[in-house]
Amino acid sequence: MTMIRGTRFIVGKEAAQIRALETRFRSYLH
Amino acid sequence: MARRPRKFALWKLDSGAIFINVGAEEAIVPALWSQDTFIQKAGGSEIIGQMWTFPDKKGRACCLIPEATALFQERCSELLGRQEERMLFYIARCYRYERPQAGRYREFSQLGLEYLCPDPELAVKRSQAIVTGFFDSLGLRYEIDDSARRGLSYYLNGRGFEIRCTELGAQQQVVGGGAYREGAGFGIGAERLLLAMTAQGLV
Repeated sequence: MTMIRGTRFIVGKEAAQIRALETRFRSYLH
Repeated sequence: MARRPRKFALWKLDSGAIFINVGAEEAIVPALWSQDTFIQKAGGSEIIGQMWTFPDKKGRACCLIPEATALFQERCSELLGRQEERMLFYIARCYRYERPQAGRYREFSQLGLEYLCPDPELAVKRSQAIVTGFFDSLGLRYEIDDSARRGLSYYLNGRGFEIRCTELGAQQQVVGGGAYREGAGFGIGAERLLLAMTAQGLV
């Protein structure tokens, strides 16, 4: 076992979507 | 180590989105990991003594990640899939059990890039060009040492590169990187970078 079960690398489209959502949240509140 | 004139960047770099501009994709990495990876990958290095380690409820040896490069190396084939190479960047919270002082925290942020590819020598050149291009885009003065002895044993020949900002006193290193079996990459200490930018009047 190296990676803890239930954790993961998020890459590709999903990573981009999460970061875009975070950016929208930041810019909404700033 | 010599202070070199700023290098001409391989890419036109003038925005905060430079990692994406050079073809990198973002990766979001776990903060929790097994100790095994770091014990194997960083074997014998000082990082093992600097980790936050603990057993989970089932007694498995866990840790908070002290750095992220080892994760990319270990999951390299999964991250590559059918691609021959892939450039990934990350912004990760990392944790080290060491004495806190100016510019050194037990919880800190790393801005990193890993270029997974079959040619580590090419990858390290590109990695260096990207990070120096980024620093140039910030207008930052720095020194680069491209034959630094690195504390992590996965670097080829035990050596890599470091970037230092002399204004920072005892904790001058802002970037560490180098070539490893699966490619090459670097990590920037975000808090130190901000300190260096502040010291140079850039923020």
